[in-house]
Amino acid sequence: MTNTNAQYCPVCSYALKKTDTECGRCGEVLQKITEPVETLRQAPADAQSLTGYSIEAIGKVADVEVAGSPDIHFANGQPVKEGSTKRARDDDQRSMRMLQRELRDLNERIARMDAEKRMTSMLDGNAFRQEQAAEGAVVTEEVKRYSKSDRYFSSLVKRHVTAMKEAGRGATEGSLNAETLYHHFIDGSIVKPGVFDRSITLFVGPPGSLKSTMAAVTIAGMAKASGGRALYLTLDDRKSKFELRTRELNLQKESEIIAVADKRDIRRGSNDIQSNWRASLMEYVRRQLSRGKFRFIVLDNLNALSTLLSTDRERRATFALFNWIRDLGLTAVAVMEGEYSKVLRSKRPEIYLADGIVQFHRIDRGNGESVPMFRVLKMRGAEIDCRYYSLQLNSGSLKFVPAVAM
Amino acid sequence: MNVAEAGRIRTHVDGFDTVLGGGIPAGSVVLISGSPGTMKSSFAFNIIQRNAKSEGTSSVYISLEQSKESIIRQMRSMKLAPEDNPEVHVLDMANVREEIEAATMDDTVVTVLKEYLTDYLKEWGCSLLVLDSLDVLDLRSGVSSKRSHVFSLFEWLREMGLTSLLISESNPQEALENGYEEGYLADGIIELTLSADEGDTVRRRIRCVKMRNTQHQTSFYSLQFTEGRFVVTQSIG
Repeated sequence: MTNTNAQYCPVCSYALKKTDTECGRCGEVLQKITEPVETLRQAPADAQSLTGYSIEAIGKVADVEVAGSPDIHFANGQPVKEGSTKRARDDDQRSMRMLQRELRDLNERIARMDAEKRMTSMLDGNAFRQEQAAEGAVVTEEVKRYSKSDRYFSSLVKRHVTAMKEAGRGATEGSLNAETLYHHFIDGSIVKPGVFDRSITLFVGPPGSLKSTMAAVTIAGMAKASGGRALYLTLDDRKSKFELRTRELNLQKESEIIAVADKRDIRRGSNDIQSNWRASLMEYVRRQLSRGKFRFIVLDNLNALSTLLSTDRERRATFALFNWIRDLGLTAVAVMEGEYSKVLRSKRPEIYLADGIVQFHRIDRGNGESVPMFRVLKMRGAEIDCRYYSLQLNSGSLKFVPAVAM
Repeated sequence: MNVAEAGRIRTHVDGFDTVLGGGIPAGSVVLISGSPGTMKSSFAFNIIQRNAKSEGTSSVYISLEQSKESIIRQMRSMKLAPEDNPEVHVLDMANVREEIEAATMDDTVVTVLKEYLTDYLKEWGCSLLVLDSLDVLDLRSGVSSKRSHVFSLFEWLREMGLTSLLISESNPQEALENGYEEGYLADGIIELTLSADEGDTVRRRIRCVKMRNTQHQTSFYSLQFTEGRFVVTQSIG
């Protein structure tokens, strides 16, 4: 279904409502948008485009003000005067060209899928060579069958194996000589002896389950104990919200230990306004590390960093991000919004790549009251108590009580 | 290269070898499946570490994502330190993932893996192998079907005389019912679970879903890890 009320942020390409004046993802201030003008002509209720999109309305405007992506014009402007048949014809032609383009793209995709199916059905155990089109991995109709003795196939294999052996030098060498450094985490009886240095722990749960609060307390505790500093990156909320939270927890005294930045700070700190979110974040963190002794980091939350990549590429991107954090010598807590069961079903790569997972939840007591709870599901290198614990905020400190004792 | 002898490879999980009729049939390809936190890696590592200690079996733990340092640290904390035993080799392939991806696009990934691993396996004389994890290998790309790739990989592992434990993030239902070919092509599936209910206790459980050439129970057993050893008991409820 074509969305006629959308615009796209010119910086991060995030889809926004037409009436939005600020990008909800990167904070970019957009041009002032006026209300869309009522269209003059409505397509019949059962009209269908050639591509299967339903045509709800075709708007006609005279003067166009464009916000967002230049490729998509959802325009504001003055309504076309009735009787302007030439303008109506031009607009019809423009719409028709757009529909033809969509149809051509769809046909190309269908042709590619057909070609892949044909090749799959020809498979009899021999290797096939995939023709590479100029623009990338586009499968052509002609497929040659190659046996393992084929020189092209062999040379490809040899090239990859050589590159792997080069890159993998040291893959089997060395062992862990130094003592493992652990950081006290949450509570010594729940995670014994703690999380190891340069680990990444995921806090997963629905909104309002105190993940961010717990992340702030945990990271402050680790930083204080180790003599280092913590960087708290709040990617969804404003810094002011975090400051309110720290006041409730009496963490404002720890302001020297925790440095907070929100997305505006990150964006402002980036030299390249067109770079994507991940690149801006990495640049910002590198800069902060060069200025202070940061040893701990909170990413709140990872959902803001999720890409539009396919699942497999997302895993690769997440693997690269986590490795980058570890290589910087940081011990991290990464917050993730969503019920853990849903995250697990969707096979988010973060849950497989993280060293630890703490699940947050709110349990309904039935009298209108819900109680925040957490439990540790995974922690590499540590002995864990997997029971549910309730979170209680008392006199500015967080207390954990086993759920069975409530 | 040691050819796996006829017989069974013990899991060294107290109580579970009885369920398996003595152990995993030598030369099998077995999936160890479970969601995050179910101790799949630790379970697999326990098998190779204990076999190395008791039978002198040479083995390799191949990690495609977790670094060698992280694995050693993790296993050391569980009193399964690999450096205690020269027959246990850890192969860190996290750094070559990019090349594996490139090989996937070229549709050469299985052949590349075979060629890359053959030298190591011959040098060490391994008869037991753990691959962590199968899901990292994107065998869905390329012009060949996933089934063809999985079949080719599994056949090679058998031809090499290896008893192979492949860690899988898919649950057995996905592996068998939704067209994920590895469930059908594997000789066995061992499932580890973590109950994610709202009770006050999280229970670890294990069961043998499938094991060729073995008369086995398919019911769940309670799995515990204490004092450096895995133990199974009858599951309650």
